[in-house]
Amino acid sequence: MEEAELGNEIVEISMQVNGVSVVLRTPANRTLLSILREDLRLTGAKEGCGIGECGACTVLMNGKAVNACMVLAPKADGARITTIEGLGDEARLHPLQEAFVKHGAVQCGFCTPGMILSAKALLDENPNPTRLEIREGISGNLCRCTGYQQIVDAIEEVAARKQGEES
Amino acid sequence: MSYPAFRYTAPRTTREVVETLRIAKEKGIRANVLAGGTDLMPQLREGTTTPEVVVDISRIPVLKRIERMGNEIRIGAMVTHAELVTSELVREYAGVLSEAAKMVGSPQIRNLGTLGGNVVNASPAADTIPALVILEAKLVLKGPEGERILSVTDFFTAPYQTVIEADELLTDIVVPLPPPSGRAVFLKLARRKAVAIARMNLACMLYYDRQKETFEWVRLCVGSSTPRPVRMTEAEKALIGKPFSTEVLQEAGRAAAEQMVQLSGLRSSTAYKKPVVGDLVMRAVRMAVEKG
Ligand code: FES
Ligand code: FES
Repeated sequence: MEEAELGNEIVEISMQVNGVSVVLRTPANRTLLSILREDLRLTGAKEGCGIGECGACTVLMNGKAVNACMVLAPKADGARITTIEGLGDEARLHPLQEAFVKHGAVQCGFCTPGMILSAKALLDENPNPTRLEIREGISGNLCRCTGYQQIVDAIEEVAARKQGEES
Repeated sequence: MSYPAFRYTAPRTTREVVETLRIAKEKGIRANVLAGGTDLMPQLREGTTTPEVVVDISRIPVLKRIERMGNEIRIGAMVTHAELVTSELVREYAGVLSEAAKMVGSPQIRNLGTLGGNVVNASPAADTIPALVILEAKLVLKGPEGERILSVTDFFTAPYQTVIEADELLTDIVVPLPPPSGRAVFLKLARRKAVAIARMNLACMLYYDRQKETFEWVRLCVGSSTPRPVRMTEAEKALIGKPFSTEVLQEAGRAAAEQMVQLSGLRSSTAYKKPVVGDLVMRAVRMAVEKG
């Protein structure tokens, strides 16, 4: 009985990933990022630093942006996860993806999935951000290529367009 | 990427957590509590922490509440930095803690990282700790024998060292409501804004009586400059009862710098930190007074 209190090395995780229910058994000593990339073959989220500093692994967990490299896999049990694969596809891009293409906000692309998910989390919470708020919203995402200007422009355009639709 | 194997458990009550920690301790099994993971996960990756059991406390509802109880606000250990930033209660009664939480890491880190984790990890650079010090917060630790409550300043012993026992769980951070006359400021100096771990930070709360033209009370705490977080009592003394003037501010800045050197000794960073501490104190006090 006492041993049971100390838990198990193998855990069962059920979660909603991009709207699809997923149930899997896995060793507990893994990250959400490795489950997404290796088990579910959703390789949009990238591993850059692996320690919460670059944001390349950003996904939405219950609607909030998190570093998937910092989430121990069993913590995702019961969670709703959105990865870049859940936003749009080649035929129908998400407005943020479209704007990133249009503004040249994608160069090597390594940061892009994380950037777009941070931008989505920002706009979901604050549909009309200032440029400063946009910068703050993506401050956990490093980009080695673009210098950020084009990224902020792209996000700003989507925010403005959303505003237009609402009024 | 995976770590050396460990067992994982996610109890539903704080009592079960403590029971699990007690059993592990008794059997000599290394157990780690997992809160938001922002400190533990990098340690697992680097192999600097190698638990045999990980006890996840994210499934315990009481640890996520923020509540006003009489003259105190009780904040559960699992409340995230993002929640501290947005909570009406915290913003109204412990604004300096909201300000400090806003400075932590990036949006992603603030969504994961928790106040309890920040406290227990005891990094000298933690942003929330100086805020808790000037709020005179208390910590509730639950162990097999029951609860004990200590002041936040008695909790830390050295960088990354605290008095928490292996079978104890930090459940709540209790903030007594500060006098409504107080004006608070949180400042942080760091190389890069997001993600940078504080190189130096400061929390300040004071009441300046404009009629009497004197500082009535002052609470100051500078982070990541002393071995354990302490109030800058010498600088506080230099202000109390005095008028708001350049000379008085300079005296307070000098006193803070002196006290920092006394507490931490001369280290390679002292040459940089000493004038900066004085400067930070002067800036913060001025800003707090200007808040009216
Ligand atoms: S890989 Fe997760 S933050 Fe860098
Ligand atoms: S486009 Fe290359 S890192 Fe951002």
